[in-house]
Amino acid sequence: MKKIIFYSTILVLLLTTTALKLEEVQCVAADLKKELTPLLKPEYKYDSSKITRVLYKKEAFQSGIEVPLFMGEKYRFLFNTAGLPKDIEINIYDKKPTSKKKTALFTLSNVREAGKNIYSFEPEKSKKMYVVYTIPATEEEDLKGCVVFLLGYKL
Amino acid sequence: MILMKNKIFFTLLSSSFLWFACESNNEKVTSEEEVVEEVEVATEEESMSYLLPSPLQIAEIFKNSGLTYIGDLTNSTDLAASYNTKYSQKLNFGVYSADMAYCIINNQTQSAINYLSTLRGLSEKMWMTDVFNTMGLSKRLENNVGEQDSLTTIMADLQIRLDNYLDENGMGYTGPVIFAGAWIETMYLGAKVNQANSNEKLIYRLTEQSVVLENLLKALEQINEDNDFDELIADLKVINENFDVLEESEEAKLSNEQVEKLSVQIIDLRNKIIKN
Repeated sequence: MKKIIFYSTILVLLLTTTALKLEEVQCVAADLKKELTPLLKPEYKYDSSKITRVLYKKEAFQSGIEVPLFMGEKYRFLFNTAGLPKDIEINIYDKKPTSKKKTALFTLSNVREAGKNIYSFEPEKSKKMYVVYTIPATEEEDLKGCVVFLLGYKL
Repeated sequence: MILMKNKIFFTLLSSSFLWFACESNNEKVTSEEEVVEEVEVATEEESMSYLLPSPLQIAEIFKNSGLTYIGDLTNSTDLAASYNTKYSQKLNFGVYSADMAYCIINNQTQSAINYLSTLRGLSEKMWMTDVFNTMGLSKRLENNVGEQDSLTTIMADLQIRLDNYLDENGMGYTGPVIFAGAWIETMYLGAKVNQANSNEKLIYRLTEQSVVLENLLKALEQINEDNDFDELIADLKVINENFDVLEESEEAKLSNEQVEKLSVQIIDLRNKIIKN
């Protein structure tokens, strides 16, 4: 009996530690998007969305989204970062990322909170904007995840 | 003795696994606490993607700027049976989506339901039936006749469903083509209504679409590896040339002649698409 208990305990320990090691941030993009859509209500309607799948590299890099907005309308930008195993930076610029005259209208690191994955931004003026993701370098192999961006509008 | 050795062995083995797992978790905690380094890296065109607005949003903006309902402007549902290539199906799925949005925002609910049925039929040809299953859309539309907000919410729900479907099924290359059809149809409706009853606000909104066309062209070029969309891109570039004058200054706008030229080109392109 003691043997059974002992070896069972070892087995449980082995299985638990293996599960801990294999635990990865799951990127079920549809679920991440579902968490965002209720945040549009009641004033905003869904317009469009973009799921960016991230494969971390040994060097930092950027990717971006051009977002056309219409003059005089109100918009809500929503981001869900729960699908990322490692934090990225998110900036929203008023000009192309390569422009030296761009202004950052939103910077995630300025508002990031521990345990929080969903962030919102509502621009004061509506014109074409540029979402830029900066993905940091990592030595880890095959590290990947996703970030979901959703845009709502209000007329 | 042997039993004791086995116990020691398994204890050491399990301890090493525990230590290994704890180290992995510690690394994860550490990485989450690290400040993301500042990187000044130029974002190249290849790493950009281009968001395309929903046809519903564009239709609503046009509506608020004077887009009225003119019967028989929209594409006949009878033509749906003639769209037998994937390309024409995708483009005209977009066209009918825009027509449905036009009907919804103008309280033409029965027509909207007819277009919904046409879209469902086209989606079957395109193997996209899941977009419409389990939504009970027709019933929802019928139950909300005259309820403008509810009708547009239903259409927005359909857009979410379509976007999710395209993403989950790796059909990102389909979205820009569907949108192209929707955008051309919406511009066509705006141009025709403006021709019937000229309106400065509507002209402004038609002109403003240059920012969307820019994104649409780039999105199409990104998916044009096999040159399947050369003709569509070329046709849209011709339309885009009308907006070159706007780059002169922020206050620049199209003259009446330029608006008429743009309208004629849009109408011609739209008729080319729906006639297959």
